[in-house]
Amino acid sequence: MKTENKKPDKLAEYLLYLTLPESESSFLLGDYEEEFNFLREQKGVLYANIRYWILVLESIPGFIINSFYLGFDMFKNYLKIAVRNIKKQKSYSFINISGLAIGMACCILILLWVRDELSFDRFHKNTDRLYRIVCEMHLGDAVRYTESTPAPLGKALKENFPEIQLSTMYYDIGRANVRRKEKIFREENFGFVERDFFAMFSFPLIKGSINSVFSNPYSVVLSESMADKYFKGEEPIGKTLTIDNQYDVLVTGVMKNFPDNSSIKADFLSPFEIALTEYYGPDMPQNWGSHTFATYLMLGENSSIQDVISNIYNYKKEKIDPESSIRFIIQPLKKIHLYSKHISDSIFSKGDIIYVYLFTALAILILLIACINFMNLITARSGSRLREVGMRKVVGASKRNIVRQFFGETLLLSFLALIISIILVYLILPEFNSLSRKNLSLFSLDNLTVIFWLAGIALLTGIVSGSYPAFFISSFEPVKILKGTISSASRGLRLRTILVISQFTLSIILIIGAIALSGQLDFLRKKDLGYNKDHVISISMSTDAGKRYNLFKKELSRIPGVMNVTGSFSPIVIKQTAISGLGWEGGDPNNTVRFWMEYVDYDYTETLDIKLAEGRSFSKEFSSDITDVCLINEEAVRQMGIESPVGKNFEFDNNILKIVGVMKDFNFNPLHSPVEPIILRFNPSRLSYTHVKIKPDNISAALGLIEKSFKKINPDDIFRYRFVDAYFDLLYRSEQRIKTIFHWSAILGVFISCMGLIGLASYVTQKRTKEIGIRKVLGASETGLMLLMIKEFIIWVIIANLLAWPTAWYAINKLFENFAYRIEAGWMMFIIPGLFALVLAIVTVSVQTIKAVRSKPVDTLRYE
Amino acid sequence: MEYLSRQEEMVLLSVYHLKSDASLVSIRRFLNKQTEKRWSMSSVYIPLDRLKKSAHLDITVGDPTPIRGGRAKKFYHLTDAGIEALEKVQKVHETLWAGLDKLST
Repeated sequence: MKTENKKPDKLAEYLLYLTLPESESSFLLGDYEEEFNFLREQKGVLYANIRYWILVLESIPGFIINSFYLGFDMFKNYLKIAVRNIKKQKSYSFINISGLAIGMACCILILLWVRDELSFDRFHKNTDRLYRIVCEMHLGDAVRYTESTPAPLGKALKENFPEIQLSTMYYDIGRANVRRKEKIFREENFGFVERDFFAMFSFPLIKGSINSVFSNPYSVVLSESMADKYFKGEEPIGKTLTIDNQYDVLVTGVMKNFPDNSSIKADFLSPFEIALTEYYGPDMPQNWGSHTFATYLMLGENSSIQDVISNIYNYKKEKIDPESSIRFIIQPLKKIHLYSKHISDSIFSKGDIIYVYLFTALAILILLIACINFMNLITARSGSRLREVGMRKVVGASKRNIVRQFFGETLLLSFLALIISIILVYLILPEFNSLSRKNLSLFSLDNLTVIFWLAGIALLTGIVSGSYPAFFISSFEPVKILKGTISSASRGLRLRTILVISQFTLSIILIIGAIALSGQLDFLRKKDLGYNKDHVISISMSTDAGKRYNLFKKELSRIPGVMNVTGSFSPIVIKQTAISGLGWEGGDPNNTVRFWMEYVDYDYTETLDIKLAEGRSFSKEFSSDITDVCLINEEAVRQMGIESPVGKNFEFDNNILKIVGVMKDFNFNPLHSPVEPIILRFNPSRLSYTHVKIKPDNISAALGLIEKSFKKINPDDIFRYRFVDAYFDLLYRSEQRIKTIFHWSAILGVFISCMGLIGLASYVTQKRTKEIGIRKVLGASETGLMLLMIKEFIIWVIIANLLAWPTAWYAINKLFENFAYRIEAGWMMFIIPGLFALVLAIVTVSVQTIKAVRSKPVDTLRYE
Repeated sequence: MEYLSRQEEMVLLSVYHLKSDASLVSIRRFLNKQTEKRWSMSSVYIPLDRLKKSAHLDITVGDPTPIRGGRAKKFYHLTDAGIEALEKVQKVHETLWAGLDKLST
């Protein structure tokens, strides 16, 4: 390899050449090549080429800026011409710049999202030393992961491994009522932590000091916004808040609001002792069998995690219980947000690294397509610049000068597009933020980095898009141009056609997807669920309020607008508990039937209008209903394999449960699953929700009265309710989000495809102007010519359709796999987008060709 | 009075240290190593060019070699004006930096 001298990448060398001043270019190119060969000897050609590209690209801006100092006058001329050209072809320039701007805007938005996802949890001072424990549970053949760990774990690891400096448990109780005098709200984001928490994580305190905030076990540190909410204008330190009417906490500190890109979110932090005394027993700290809290660790400064990984992994088996099938995995804090998809329960929201890769690729793809369209359009319209190029060359411009000029023009357009795209991003950002549930902002972090990246994008786009047209235009020969015998090359036509067809295919797929998702969501909303959820509200009840349920029900039945009242343990639209391993009379003792469990009050089936197939519902007439009766549904009967179930008994847990009725099947869970067996047990002491059916004629009045009753009976509680059909819609939030994404992507795709088509059509038309002229002379009509020109494009759109339909079909099926109930993919779903694409294409192409078709043969054939 | 820019100063000093082997490539490698930062080719070349134009540096051209694709190489040397400029800067440095070691205690 040493004997034969390899050359660095020609393209990189040429790009460099363009930016160098004429007199120095030889020496400098030699310097770069010398570096290239040095690197080649070290690590081979590929490595050397990559480094060579980097050397070139990082030098180009410097040389370009330098050349401004050197050749300012020439630069002014180029600028004048560039602006003049933009004005001459106003509509094309506008379309071109906006196409590029939209592509850039999408790219920027996506990259902002990606940057945010990657930035989670990096703001702590000790980020690199922080880890959390994930439990790996082996149950038979299956492996499950959970972030809930045994309570003694953190302390035990700290004591046994010198590498582990600090540890803390973390417990979030989910939701609680917080009260300060007459202000009472339902709050989330409660954390119970141990003292080391503040030393480990960087959540700075505005008031109070780290050493003293947890000196009193019943204390709390508030976030800024909570301090403002409950203590506006007063000093919060020293005051108390009441939690769930159970206990009081003393405010001992205020901390800055947790940043959005933290996977730990807390508005209230209290000492862990409260979790033990109020929610769990005192023997929790020694209990290795119960997995309830999260555990975080901080490594010592010079310790390496590698030393302890395997010891921690097997800790329980080795030190506590040799039979244990539980292992402990250490997960770095930085990885929590993106690499926790496999962990089954998590109190905090998760992202996924796959989406990061996917969207980055998408961003690059969109920018690439935008660049290619940009390139196409410029090349297509370059015919009008021929004479200018010819003249310049005649007067002494070198090819390099011409290339520089056109590169400059493209860069100018590119930067204009950048400015527009920044404005677009600014306008779209609020909508994008609500879609992605983030709080992104273009200038949140260091402005310099942002400007650098944006300028880099514009530069890269300009260079990539400008290269082909620049070379193309500069290669025209002056003699031929001025004589008028230029023949445009037809290479690249095939490539362009393929590109446009694929853009159309993609757009059609997106449109079909959007239509399908809309249809599916509509279908779900309108589907008959086997019960009536109209005008029913669910009021959530704390344990206290649950004790006064019967009183509340009595009060409610006096309200005129109330039609029916009942109660249950779970929400109406989704159930939480399921069991198997039950026995019943005449059943197979080894059955694997899985029943959903729900505890209800009287009037459940009446309030929701659930029909009965056999037997009866719970009723006060039967005193035996006070104990151990239940209703099951038809699906349960089917799976149990028995006949006339009414009167038969379930046996489990030393209990006997008598079946008094069979309900017709209804969808008590989201429509992702089909109807499964369910047991409705009568148990009015285990209710968390009161359901009230309201007369539709004056709902707001009724609601007011209901709230008054609630407050009268539960003065210390918060009145929180939901309409059942609103709750139902909430279940499909993620599908709705995907639908919105599809909508916007479809619109974007259509726009980009049209851009591509415009470029292609104008190019083809230009090529065939002479042909049109000749045909006209020979007697062709204008209409006939139009049809002739459009014919090809129609064929391409049809091809795009044929490619799109099977792909869309497959994608829709995959998307709807999750649903037990789905619409049929009808013909209309495919035909309509196809026709739309066709009409769009015809219109776009017509606009291009009409001018050419109308022109007089005299003009087009002039130079022959 | 005109001062040398930071980069010009560093480049000029590198030429001094590299003596007869002061070319773009060698100066860049020298600076990379000494400052532990990556210098791009242009960020070394542009100061060199300016220094040449302001007559602080002189140029001799070496032979073409195959490693450079058959192109010649430029070598830079300090002129008297260049040496003078460096001495001026050094004097200013000494005055301003005097006693700095006491700052951190």
